[in-house]
Amino acid sequence: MEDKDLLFKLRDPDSLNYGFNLLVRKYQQKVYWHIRKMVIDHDDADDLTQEVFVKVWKNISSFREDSQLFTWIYRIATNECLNFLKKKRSRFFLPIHDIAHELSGRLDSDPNLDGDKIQLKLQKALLTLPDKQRLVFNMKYFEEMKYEEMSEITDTSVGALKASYHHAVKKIEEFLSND
Amino acid sequence: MKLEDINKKNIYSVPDKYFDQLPARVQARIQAKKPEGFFSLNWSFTYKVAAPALAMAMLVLFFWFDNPVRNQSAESLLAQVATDDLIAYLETTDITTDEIIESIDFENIDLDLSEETPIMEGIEMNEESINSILDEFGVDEDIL
Repeated sequence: MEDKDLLFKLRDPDSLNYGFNLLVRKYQQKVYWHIRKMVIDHDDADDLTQEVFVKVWKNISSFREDSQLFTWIYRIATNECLNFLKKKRSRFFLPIHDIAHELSGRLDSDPNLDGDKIQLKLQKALLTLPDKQRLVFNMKYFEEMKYEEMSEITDTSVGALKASYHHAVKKIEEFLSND
Repeated sequence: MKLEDINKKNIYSVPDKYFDQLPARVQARIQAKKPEGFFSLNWSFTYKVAAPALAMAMLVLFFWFDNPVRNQSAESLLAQVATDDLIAYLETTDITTDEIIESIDFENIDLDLSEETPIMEGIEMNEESINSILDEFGVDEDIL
């Protein structure tokens, strides 16, 4: 279903619940995977994904159609992820490397990972990046988003996003070559 | 090593039927939060604000409808005071008789001076008594 049809249903009180259910079904996987690649752990990703849709529900009446529905939802999801990681770091007074170490440990202990050694190594390389740079890399590399869409979601200029992505690629390739 | 050499693959997985169940779980979470909405009863608000405000409103209404003085004019209230009390009050004040007389609006006093009104009512003296008084004060009957 097109976003404009979804929004039409969400504007009508009689079809609001139905429309919202359709919205969740349409975007749940994109939102979940966007979050999961950032927080690594399934339970955290599950909780944050639900929280994102609760926020969408609460604020859908204030959504203005000057942006696309999916970029608006992605923006909420992105903020949830960054806030989650920030809180986690401040709660335990952990520097970025310790968070990376903890998340890397989860990768090692997860029996459900479906990838070879090099793919696991790529994920560990990603964990050495700052949160925002990792987010940019995920959106460009895995989700294959356009820079313009990423710019709208992250509220960052296209030039800055390009620079951030290329810098991330360089650091990842160094990690893969050296380790 | 170059990034292009690595197959792009999502290595993470989710529990079986996770995405089939997620919409229902989101709905349940929304339903659980609904009682906090605008029209719901917030007990904290009820105890701290609504109940005292309601009690105050009821007190105001009670006194408003129950107060017998509310619709009475100053004249009707004064009429309820005994004449002796009024005289006793006026004697204790600095108001002179002249000031009281000046304050009376004679033009608007509704006096019934028709013939049916017995001006001498209450005196009820017979002619003999009147004559003795006139004699006593030396008043000539022709003057009257």
